[in-house]
Amino acid sequence: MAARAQAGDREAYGALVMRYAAQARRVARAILGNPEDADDAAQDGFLAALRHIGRYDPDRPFGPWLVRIVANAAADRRRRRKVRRTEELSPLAATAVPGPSEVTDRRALRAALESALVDLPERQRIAVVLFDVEGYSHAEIAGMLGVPEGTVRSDVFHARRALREPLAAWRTWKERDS
Amino acid sequence: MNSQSPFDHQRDAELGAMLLEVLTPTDDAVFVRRVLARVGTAPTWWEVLDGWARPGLAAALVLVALAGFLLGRTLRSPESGMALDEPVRAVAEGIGVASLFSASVPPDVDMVVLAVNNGQ
Repeated sequence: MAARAQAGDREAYGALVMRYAAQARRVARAILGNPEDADDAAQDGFLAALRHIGRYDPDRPFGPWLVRIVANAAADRRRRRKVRRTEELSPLAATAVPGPSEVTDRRALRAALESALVDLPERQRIAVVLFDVEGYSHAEIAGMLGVPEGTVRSDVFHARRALREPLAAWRTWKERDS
Repeated sequence: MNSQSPFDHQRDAELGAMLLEVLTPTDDAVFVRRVLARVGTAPTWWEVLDGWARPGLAAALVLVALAGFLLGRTLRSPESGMALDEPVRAVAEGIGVASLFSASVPPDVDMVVLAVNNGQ
């Protein structure tokens, strides 16, 4: 598919967009927080990938190549707009202060998790999303981010530790409640 | 699943599922349509190259023509060290046969050969 797209087949590229849209949007959202900015960045990434598809090596998987471009597009957008941390929070996360009664709500857990994600350093955020959500290996993520594999392992480890807190609190409450 | 080791190669399925839920947007179809609309009008790398092909070819032709003109002018100029009559003139100066060039009647072939041989 990617090789066909490289040969100029727009329909093949369209199929790639459909296949990788969700992943690209998630990665961009992990970097930018704001869903609208994330979609703009993901779109920038897809268009940049199309412009530079001549540089893509068809012997290698398309996903990591695309994710790297999308991540760069998101980081560029973040730098350009100088997005403030408070703007990164989605309305849901910004208003969510998990109280004892709200913790039962799965939406509140989502909000708490989203908030914890936003609090992470950018690289840890990307690393944990690429590893635990997208299923890339440490080595693949290291290649995408241009950092040593050990750094990726460390980032995933620290990110997990921070993200498991709201998850553990929610689980504890559920056990106590039942 | 909940390994606390940085050397863990396994995915945390529970955390992954929750993050997937948090990060996955619901309106994928709208986004895909939006990107495809832009992809339809965006120039690709081969179109960019194609766009440069004509101006590039024209520029190359202009350069070749300019180079040819300059080379021709250099060869025709009197200062050029490649003047065609110079070898003959050099020979003539060596043996004093200027008369061969100034004579009103064509010289004999043997005289010319003799003059050249003497010039060497």
